[in-house]
Amino acid sequence: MRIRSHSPLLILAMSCGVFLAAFAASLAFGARSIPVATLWQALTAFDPGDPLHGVLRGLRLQRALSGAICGAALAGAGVIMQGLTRNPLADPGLMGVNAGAALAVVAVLWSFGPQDVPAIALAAIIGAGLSAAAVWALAGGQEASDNRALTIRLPLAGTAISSLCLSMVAAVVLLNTETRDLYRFWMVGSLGQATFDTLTRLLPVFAAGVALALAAARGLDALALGHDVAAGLGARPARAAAAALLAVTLLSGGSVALAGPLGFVGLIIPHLVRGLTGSATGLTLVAALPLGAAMVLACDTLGRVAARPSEIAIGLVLAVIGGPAFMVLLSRVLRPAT
Amino acid sequence: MRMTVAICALLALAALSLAAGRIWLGPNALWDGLIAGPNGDFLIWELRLPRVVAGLSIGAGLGLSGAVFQSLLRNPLASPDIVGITQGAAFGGVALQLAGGAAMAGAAAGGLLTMALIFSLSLSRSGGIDPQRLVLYGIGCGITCSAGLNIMIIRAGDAAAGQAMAWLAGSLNSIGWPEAALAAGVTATLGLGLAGSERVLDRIELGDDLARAWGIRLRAWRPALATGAALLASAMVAVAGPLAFVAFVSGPVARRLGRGGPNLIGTALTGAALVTLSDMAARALAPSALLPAGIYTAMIGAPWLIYILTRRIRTGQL
Repeated sequence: MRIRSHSPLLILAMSCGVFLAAFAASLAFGARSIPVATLWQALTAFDPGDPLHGVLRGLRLQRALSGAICGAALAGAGVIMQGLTRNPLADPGLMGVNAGAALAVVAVLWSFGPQDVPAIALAAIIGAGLSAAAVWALAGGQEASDNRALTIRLPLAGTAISSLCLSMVAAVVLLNTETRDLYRFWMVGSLGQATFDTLTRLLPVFAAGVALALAAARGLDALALGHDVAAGLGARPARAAAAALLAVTLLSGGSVALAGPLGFVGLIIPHLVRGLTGSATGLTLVAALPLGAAMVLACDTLGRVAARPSEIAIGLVLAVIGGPAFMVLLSRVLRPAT
Repeated sequence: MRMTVAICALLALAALSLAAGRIWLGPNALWDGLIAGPNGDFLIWELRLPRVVAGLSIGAGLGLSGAVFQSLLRNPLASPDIVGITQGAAFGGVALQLAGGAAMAGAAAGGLLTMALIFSLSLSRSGGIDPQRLVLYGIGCGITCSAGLNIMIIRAGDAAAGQAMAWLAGSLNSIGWPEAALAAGVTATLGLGLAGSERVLDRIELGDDLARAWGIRLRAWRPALATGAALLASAMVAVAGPLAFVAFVSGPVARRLGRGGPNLIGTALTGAALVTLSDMAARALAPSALLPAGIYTAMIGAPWLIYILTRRIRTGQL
């Protein structure tokens, strides 16, 4: 039996199964564990008098839902970004998206004081888009001669843009105490403050992002064959690339707005999924969404269980896992050429 | 001649930095204070002079360390702050300090381990080192260490966390004479040793084969120079935190100002000037906030990184 012979349906069923398990674990474990039976009762027959039910419906459910949506969005953004750049190391975080979003959020908080969620989200999305475009341009994305060159340039360009943005963020935050207090909640990347209200307001952004990503997937597959072949096949390369960039911006910007900067989901999940699905972008995308959600939920649960009764912010858990993963992927990508 | 001008300019900058701050001193007040001796003028002798001395030594140390790595690997991107060595040192320093040990020992261990890791990962089959792989592995190492660092800081108590945060931004705000003396001592010993190897580095830059033809024993020189440079950078990080980009910027700037080639003395002067200038900016531009000097060095360094990248891409070197 070869792995590639798995049917798409089986892969989808597997990834949804993993997602459901992670979702249940995220609801059950935390500062206090909740038995599965109680979990089920709280979801089906809610009893306002039971404190465990209150914790579950009041806190953990909205946390788990935000985590799932962020994870799915980041994994989706990663798939599209890797498809667009044909670079297996492309990740929204490495492309400076998080730093750009942080700078935009801080600029808005500094100039206009405390803001409503939509304003912050809009700032984050615009900042994310601008910095992604800057990194792409700096790395010479459009005219890069081969993938290896881009593999080397993209992380460097991302480092440059990120550190520029972050030093400006640090300056503003240290100069202005009010902004610092507002920003501190946001910067580590945490699902702790996500609320149903934020979530529902951001849903349209995520929906639009996923829809655009799905629409761009076929065009990206054609683009992988080269610009001319793609045009010959009837695809419109420019339009596909524009849709893909917009999708990445909406998905990663929305996730930054919801949970702060989270890295590496978009780097790791597409790799894992591609091992199962092969290179078709559409299928990879559909399978990556639940698996990305599962990864964020699992890491969030880990952060809560490891540091009971307090918690380690998810952004940090992801970075500790993601740094070494980045190096492993790197050694696999670079080996053939050396 | 050029060197004399550079040293005079640096001394003038140091004097200006002594005069600058929340209270500006005129030339007369500055001179009187200096003449008055250690017990005469608290502001100059206890607050500003240690900072200026530390700034000069740390800048020189970081600059030298960066220039040695850049020559050794023949790549302007391979400085310790880009390839994760300073982050490794910061991680080790904070870890040992929180455990009750000496930050300096932890920083040295962290920096050396990171260096050994990225060098061994990027060894090619022929025994040389692939600089591009080293840079990428180093970026990965740096990300991992920063994340571990953030976790430690968040898990530590509020007081320790506050201290560690200020230090992490790279700041001279809490420097006194003991720290300044430490930085000056380490820079003087290790830095002089490294500066003495300028001719070796000059030949290593020609390529492994040519260097061997010149009689340079790469197997001995490469680890020795890398260890010395990593130790120097780690010690500077232990004193003032990871001042962003000083190691990265100083060497190439000095190369451009001088006649080309490694120009280690020029690099030390450039680094010293950069940190002194940033620390002066930190005190003079916003005296009430006392921003860490690391923010100013980053604002100078990041655009430089962008410039280097665009140039190398345009000329097809990357």
